[in-house]
Amino acid sequence: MRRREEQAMEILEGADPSLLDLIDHVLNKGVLVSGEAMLGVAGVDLVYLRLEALLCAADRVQPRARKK
Amino acid sequence: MSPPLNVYALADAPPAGVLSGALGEPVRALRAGPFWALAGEVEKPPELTAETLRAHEAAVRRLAEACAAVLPVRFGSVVEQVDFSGREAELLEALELVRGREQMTLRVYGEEPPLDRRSGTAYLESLRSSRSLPELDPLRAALAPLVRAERVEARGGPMRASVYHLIDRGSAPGYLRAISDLQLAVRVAPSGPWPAWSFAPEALR
Repeated sequence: MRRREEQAMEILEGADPSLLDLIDHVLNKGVLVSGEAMLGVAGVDLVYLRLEALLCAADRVQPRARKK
Repeated sequence: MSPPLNVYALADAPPAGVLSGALGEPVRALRAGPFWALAGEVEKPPELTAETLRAHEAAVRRLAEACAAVLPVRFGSVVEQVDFSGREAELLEALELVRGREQMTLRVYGEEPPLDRRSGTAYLESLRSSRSLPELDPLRAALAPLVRAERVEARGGPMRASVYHLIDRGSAPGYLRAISDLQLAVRVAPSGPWPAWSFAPEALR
């Protein structure tokens, strides 16, 4: 489990905004086939928390998120 | 024992032809009650990397393009058997909702307006109003001809919310054009089109 969390953190640390969008959809949404599948990507709760923080930070680097 | 299945999506009809999964493996359509589980045989669950996430999304996208209605399945859903019993009504309703449609995602950035703290009722009312994002009303009006369903997930902090819109396939260019023409009190960052990730039922069973 520890290794999976570390892997997730490595992805998030280096992620570009489009990858963050992708992570939000592919990990955070979608049908869950079973409870066991959830455990298959252990550490995801932590990933979600970190992802939310990074999606906020992405505001500063997304060229389309200009001030209106 | 049959090999583990990496499930990519749920559909109510199999796609025409054979499509490839995240590892290049053929995607099989497996009957599960009234549904078809679209899955590839794998030796073990995928490692969690940026590349495997992209590959999973690409596989789901191929399936979404080949089927009129699919519900994407989360990354890492590797199972021995597929069983959706007890969820049929919910999943059939979701399949009808996404049929012929795709998703746009909006990240909404900006300061949350100050909440009215003069009384408990006033506080709750101002919180409810803030969470409904009235700043997006001009956007909602402009997008009304295109948007078939909306889901809002309010956040705290500089990102006020994630807004997920379901639109008819092929209407993304018009959607993006309508947004670019608007002047809003908040900043919005659109992405898409995506398969209908955020309109697949969430509940863990």
